[in-house]
Amino acid sequence: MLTRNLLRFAVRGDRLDPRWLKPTSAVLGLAGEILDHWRSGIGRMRGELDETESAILHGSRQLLVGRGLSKVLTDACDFGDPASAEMLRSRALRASFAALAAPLVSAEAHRTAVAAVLGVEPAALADAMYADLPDRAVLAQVPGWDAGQLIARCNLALAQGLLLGAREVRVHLRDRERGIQRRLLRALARRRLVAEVASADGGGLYLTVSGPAAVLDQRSAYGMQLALWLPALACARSWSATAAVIPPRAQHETTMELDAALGLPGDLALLDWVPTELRQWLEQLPAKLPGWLPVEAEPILLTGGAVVLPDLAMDDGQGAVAIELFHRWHLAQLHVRLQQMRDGLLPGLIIGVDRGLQRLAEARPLMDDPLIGERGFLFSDLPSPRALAEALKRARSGTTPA
Amino acid sequence: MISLRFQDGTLLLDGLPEDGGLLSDLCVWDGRVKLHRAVAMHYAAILRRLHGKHEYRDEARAYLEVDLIEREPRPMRHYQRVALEAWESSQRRGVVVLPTGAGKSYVALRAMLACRRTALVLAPTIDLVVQWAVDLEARLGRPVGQYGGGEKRFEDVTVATYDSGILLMPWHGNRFGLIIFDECHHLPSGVTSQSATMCLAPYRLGLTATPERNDGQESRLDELVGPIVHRTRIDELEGNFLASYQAEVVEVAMDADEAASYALHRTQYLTFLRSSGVQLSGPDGWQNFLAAAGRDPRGRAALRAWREQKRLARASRAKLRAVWELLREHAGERSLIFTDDNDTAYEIGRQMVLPVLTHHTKPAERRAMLNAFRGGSWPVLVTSKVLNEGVDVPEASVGIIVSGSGSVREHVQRLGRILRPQEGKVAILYELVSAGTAEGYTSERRRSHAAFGELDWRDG
Repeated sequence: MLTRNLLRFAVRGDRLDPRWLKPTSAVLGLAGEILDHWRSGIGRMRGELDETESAILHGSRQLLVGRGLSKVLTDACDFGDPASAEMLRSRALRASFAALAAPLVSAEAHRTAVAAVLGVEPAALADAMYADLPDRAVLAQVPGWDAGQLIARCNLALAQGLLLGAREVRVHLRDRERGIQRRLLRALARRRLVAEVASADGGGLYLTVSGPAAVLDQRSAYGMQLALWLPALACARSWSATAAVIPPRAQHETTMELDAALGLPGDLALLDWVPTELRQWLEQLPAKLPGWLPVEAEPILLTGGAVVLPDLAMDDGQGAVAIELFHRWHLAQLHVRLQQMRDGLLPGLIIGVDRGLQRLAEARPLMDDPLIGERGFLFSDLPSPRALAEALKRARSGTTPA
Repeated sequence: MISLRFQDGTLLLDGLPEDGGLLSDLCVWDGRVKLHRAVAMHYAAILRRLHGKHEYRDEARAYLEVDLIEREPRPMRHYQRVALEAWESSQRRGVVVLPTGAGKSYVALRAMLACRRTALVLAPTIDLVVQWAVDLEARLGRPVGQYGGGEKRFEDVTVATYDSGILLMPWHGNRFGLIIFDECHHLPSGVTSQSATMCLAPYRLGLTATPERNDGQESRLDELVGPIVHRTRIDELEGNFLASYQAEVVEVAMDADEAASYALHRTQYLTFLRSSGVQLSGPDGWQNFLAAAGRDPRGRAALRAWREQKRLARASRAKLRAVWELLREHAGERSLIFTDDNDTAYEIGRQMVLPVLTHHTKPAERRAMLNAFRGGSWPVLVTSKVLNEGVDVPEASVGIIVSGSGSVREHVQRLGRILRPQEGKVAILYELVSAGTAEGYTSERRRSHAAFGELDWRDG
């Protein structure tokens, strides 16, 4: 995402207008020049490429635009680690400190003396001493974007940079497909964000997204998580969003409008991102559930085209058991799932139900459903291995809890 | 019955009347989860409010009582004891202000022993985290957990960086009964404060030599940690618990060609500033300069001129010769050379064949450099800013500031690096200033402190 000094925007009253890059011939030309510059630099050092790029940027009359494009591109480039100079440095420093016991009259004389001990030229020694700094890293790979794609990514980086100051984002998700809706909600939960969810006409959703503590503190404590969620949202086909943002150098909250028509590129890796804590929780499951191993959770296709996307799956060698977790905002989905289970459509599925659902008056009748006891378990935050073990055991033996 | 639960760095409260009842000023109704929600930091205040007045069930707390023993107890110095007593009588919440080298970490250790609860120490850099871990393991004789820098291991006492603290609190903010904020003046800035607000630890200790901040946000420490409960000034300990020291400003005249180049470039960029109406001292001054520079070829030349005059003032040939002269004068003494930027640090490293420690230095080499410095085999170390804070190098007795910012804190901290007491040690801090340049003004600003014989409001 773009850093504060590269954000281009205007504040008009309560409205925040990002200065989106348009693919005009000038901007396309500049983006193309920057792409060509870095592509032709594969195998060369970063510092050298940065320096020669400044001629392109300064000559463009759009210095800030050029810097933004360059940052987005170089953030996505692969640079090899520069060859380590540690061995030479260590030898040089040993020789240097030996000579410093009786320091010579000038630094130059000292460097010459040290170089002589190492058998190299003084200038070569000075050059090689710290030859493994990041500006000596060699460019290995440049993304295969064209100029238009680089501009689109720069616009995404601009929106993300501004979202760092966001307190809340209201989203109208028009995609009716349950799969994308579910993945977006899961991505929210994994970022420890909280959403109020309401149905929209036509099968879409209204989401009000903020952090757990947003009700306590009007500061933008969750800006980073909201910014990282945006590329996941952009994976949807049809959406619009209104963000409450305090932009850099402003004193008051403003409103920023975003929508799918901006062409911000989505990122599937961020849509299905798994936080370290959850990954660790999954990794420690085999130790706590002897005989069971976490496996890839496969989507379950139902007749009629519906898809169930389990959150995880466990295998004991007799086939995988899928586990789907239902949070506070999954009341409607839980209702549907329980009916599908009653209809015998999902024999291999276990459900975990967030205890928070119990507190919703409208959820109480559902929570009394015996299926939750037979084929499910309750959890707060993350399922406990014990509850999961018991549910898996019941799933295998086909028994119900005592 | 009211129940408390920890969730994502906050407290969820069940069983309160809709208006929050006796906790109305400490929580709000969260319609998203149909429960009251409170900042985790208010845990102690909430329990105090409920205790004896209302039945409650505490499902939030996950910290434990632990038996911590100091392996080789040693007597506390008078001011350390006074500081600890003041903190204890302030409900074990508050900030202790002690000069660098005065043994703040020992006060922290005694606070851990007094609280006997699982504890977390947060420090600003990975170097400091490693130093805390090594020191605590030696004193407590038990493994100390570390979170961050590639490790995620909790023990009864755990250390982490502030950055890791922000990440771990939503998941683990209920595991610590005591939280210690080292160099706590970092805490009020931006999201860093979340490492305090999202943690429910009832006992909190802040440690710093300089709580004051340029943005005035130090007042937030009261809410995040507690009040300042003790303060000892640097001049109160000099010669007894800190080394005696001298501070000397060395004016260095540039070579004629560099002085002319400096004047030319400075005039060029100042002329552009005047003609474009940009005031660098105004709000967004630097941003406005960059924007103006981007619009106008003269502006781009002015930006280059600004860089060049700054480079000359920071690292003129004459200044680097002066560094060498000082190294010769103090040959064999443990010397730290500080610069404002990495480029100058590496320039000195290349020209004088010296070890340079910056944020680019990899951990293993960083440890090797510090060990060689402490052991005396590599008695000179060049650094930009990474050694400004905390890292313990007791053997250093000479500091050479080649360039720096106008920050009083940075300057006092750099002085602190050479003040660890040793038998008969008299430390000396040199500050090299390019004569006739803007560095003179910067130097005056950073010396507005009692440590340099110039008291200002900050020293009360």
